[in-house]
Formats: sequence, C-alpha cells, structure tokens
Amino acid sequence: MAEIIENKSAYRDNGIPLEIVFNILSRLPVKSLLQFKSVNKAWHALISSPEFIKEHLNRASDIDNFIFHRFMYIKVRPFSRQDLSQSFDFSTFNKVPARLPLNSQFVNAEVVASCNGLVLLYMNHEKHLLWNPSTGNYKEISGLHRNRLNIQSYNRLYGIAHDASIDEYTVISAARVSHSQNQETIVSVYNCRTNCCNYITGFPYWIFRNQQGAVVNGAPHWLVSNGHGDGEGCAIIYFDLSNETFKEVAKPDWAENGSELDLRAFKGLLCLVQYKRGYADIWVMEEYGEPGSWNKLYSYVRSLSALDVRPLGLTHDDEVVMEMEQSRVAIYNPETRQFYDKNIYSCYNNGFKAVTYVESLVSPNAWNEDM
Amino acid sequence: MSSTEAKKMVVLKSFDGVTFEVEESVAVQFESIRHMFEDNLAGSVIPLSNIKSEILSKVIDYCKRHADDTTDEEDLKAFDADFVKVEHGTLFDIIRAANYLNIKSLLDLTCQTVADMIKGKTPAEIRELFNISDEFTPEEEEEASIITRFIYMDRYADC
Repeated sequence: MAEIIENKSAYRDNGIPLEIVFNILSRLPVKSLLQFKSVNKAWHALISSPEFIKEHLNRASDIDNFIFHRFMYIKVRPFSRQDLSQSFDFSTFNKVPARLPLNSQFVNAEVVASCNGLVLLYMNHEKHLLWNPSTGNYKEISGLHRNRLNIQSYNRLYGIAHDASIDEYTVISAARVSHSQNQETIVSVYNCRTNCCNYITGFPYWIFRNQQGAVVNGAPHWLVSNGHGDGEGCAIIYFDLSNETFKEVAKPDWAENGSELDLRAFKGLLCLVQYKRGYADIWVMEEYGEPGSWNKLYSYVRSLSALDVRPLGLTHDDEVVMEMEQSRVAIYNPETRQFYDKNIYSCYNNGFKAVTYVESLVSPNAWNEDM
Repeated sequence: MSSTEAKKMVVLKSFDGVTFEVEESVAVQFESIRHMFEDNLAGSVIPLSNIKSEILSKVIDYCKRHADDTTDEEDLKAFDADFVKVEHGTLFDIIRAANYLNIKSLLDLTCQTVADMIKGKTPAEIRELFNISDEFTPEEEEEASIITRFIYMDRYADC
C-alpha cells in the first residue's frame, strides 16, 4: 500500500487520490471489486493489495454492517451435478451467488468451519477445501486426520484460526478415531502459509458432537466434555496458536451438560445457548475471559413442534436468525416473541449445519500465488 | 463553555482568498489543522490553499451542525442525507476537503455515498466518473470479467 499511496501524486491531476479511492472501495461488495479490478492497473493493484483486503475485511466484519454477513447451506442431493450451495445475507435474506469449487466432480459436501470469509468444505468424504465463496478461490487442505477415509462416522471438531499479527490462517481439526482396539483423538493443525500439517496427540477431552468452532478474537472455540458421557462435565476450549495447545475459557457455573448447550459467536462475542424444556436462553460473555460477565441476552420459547430450534446469528434489528426443524430458517423477534418463517429450506447432514461467514476478499492462496 | 465568556474564534482562508470565522468548538473537528489553533495562535489566519470557498463553506456548515449538541439524531440524519445531494464534482471536492482536514465522520458519509453510487456500475462507467484512462487491453479485461461472471452469474452477465 505504501507504494501505491506514494504514487498517488502522479494520479492527482486528473482524478481522485488513491487513498480516497481506497476508502471508497473498501465499502463495496466483493462482486463490484472483482469487476473494478479491470478499471485500470492502479485499481487492480489496489484491490489486490493485502492492506486493502484487510481494510475491506475490517469494514465487512463490522457488527453493524449486515449486508456483508451471510449464512450458507449445502443441500444434500447425492449424484446431482447441480450446484448445491445456498447462501443468504442477514439483512434481506436474498440468495447470494456462490458456486462450489470443482463443481461437477462431487456428490457430497459439508461446510465444516468458517473465519473471515473463508469456508472449510469437506467434499465427497475425502478431501478438505479452504474456499472463499465470494471470490471463488480455493485450495486443498491435505493431511487432515492423516487422510483417513470414513472420518465422517466419527465426531469431529473443526475450526479456522487467524493470527492477525502475521495475517496467517491455520485449519484445526480433531477427530476421535479407532484403530484395532484403541480409540485415539487425532488433532491436525494445518498451517496455510507453509502448507504443512502437524499432529498433536494426548487430547484430554471427549468430543461428544460435531462442531464448527465459534470464532472469537481469531480463535475457534468448542464445547467438549471432560467425562465420557454425552457432554457431561463440559468445558469451553480454544486453540492457542502461540504454543499449539488447547486452553479453557471460563464457563458459567450452570453450564454442566454440553448436550443441552450450543456455542456461538454473535457480534464478535462468545455466546452459549442453553436448551431447556420448552424454552432456551442465549447467554453472552460480555468481556472475554471474565467468568462474571456471562449475561442472559434473550430467552425464547421452543414451540412443541419445533424441537430443533438453533440460533444462527443476529440481524441488524437484533432479531435472531434460527435454524428450525425440517430444515427451515426463521427469524425470532424477541419483542413480539414471534417466529417468522423466511421460506428458506435447507437439507443438512451429519451434524454440520449452516455456516455463517462474512463477504471478503481474503484468499486461501495468499501465500502461494496471486489471485 | 460558559455563555458569558467570549467564544474563541478561528479564522480560515480558502484557496480563492475568502476568510471564514469559525468557533473553535466547531473547528476542533478539523483534525489535521487542530494543532495550529490550539497552540494559542489566536487571531492568526489559517490558510487552506487547496479548498475553494464554495466547498469550505459547505464543510463548515456540516461541522457546525454536527457540533450542535441540541440537534437530535433523526434531524442530523436528514441533514446528512440532504448534504450529499450534490453534483458529482462537488461531492468529490468535499471528499478531498474532508480528507485533507481529516474530518472522519464527513469522510465516512461522503465515501459511503460514492460507494453506494458506484456499486452497480461497469468498469467503463467508473473510468468516466473518476476521469481515469483505460490501461488494459480488451483481452485482459475480458479475462477479469469471465472470472466474475463465473461466480456471479446473475446481473453482471447482462452487462
């Protein structure tokens, strides 16, 4: 960027200084930016620069900037060659174009994690792809779970971590797999800059459910169990990139059984959903790491017919976007205490449901080649 | 500020020689020249050699309105919406002035206005609006548009 900005004087006589162009463009949707790369070479260089991509991401991630916030489903329609992805924005609920990579070559896909506009896909039960649905860029993440096949029959944790200080992405996955008579949890840590995958053994927790990490401060967080039951003695953990270990975040006292809890990241804050008979509470950790800062945000009634109502995100009006049973999406208004159906139907599979992401220019290939 | 105390004034001089007397409470929004009048250089004229009087007057209007604590938020929104209803050339002049004076809220408002305006435009329309020349060969341009069309098969395909 420094270089680009320095050149601005050459640019000033007949146009707008590039630092102003930078400011204006950082507010645009990715689709416009991909088109505007062909305005001229200066614009192309600006839009491709890491500084611009970072600024655009910051603006898009702004908690009030809902036009850039999306959620996505992959429809399960085996052996179909049609595009199975469905993406929607959080303000209008209009469908947003997104085309799965390797379009004609797969029969099944799961969205398993997301961070800063990057989405991790698990394709055909065999390969993981790190994909930016907004730009179409992707790359294969090889070596997760030591390339074991049939990993989908085990409970897995997935997450994408971002180290902002060096702008580096790491894909983390953990799966409990059995070989001969033993069971073992393999943690895979894939560094997107070096393209190397490390394995960590001795994972001291029990994975009781498939989970996408809830990303707060660049780190994915998961609910795990200390016991071997169905979420008993639960803990909230995150992966600390600095020393490649799992650490715990203080949970509220009442959070005991993971099977009745869900972990989310809303508006950049860690949230716990507690499911009870007939209703559910959404709790938010106002100050990260402060056990005393867990506060109840909303309660909502789970109607008799909707046994599986899970909060997916908040809208700009602080309504809650809910995944409902039978793969429907609805909006819950906390003031009227009503659910409004959005006529969006998903078909999800195997515990990994919708994924939320933000529209960004972040490239999975940033360190390998130019977009 | 006590009402009996005389309000401290700052004098600004535009590119075309017009002087404007502005209350210091308004002028504090001009981040980049703040140090000049806060260093007790009372009475001295601050020259703004790259801002025309027509534009400076608008910018001062904006800052006056935004310094006034009594204006309620709805009125301020309506004022902002009206404020940016100007010709493109004027809008870009205001952006340059806001950028030079480092008035963050005005820069946000005007840049967002341009962003909303250009969102659906084609590269050719952008070149015209920003008055910049086309350095790409038609082949290079076609290549870029194929990629965009692949992902966003909707509206842009018609362009």
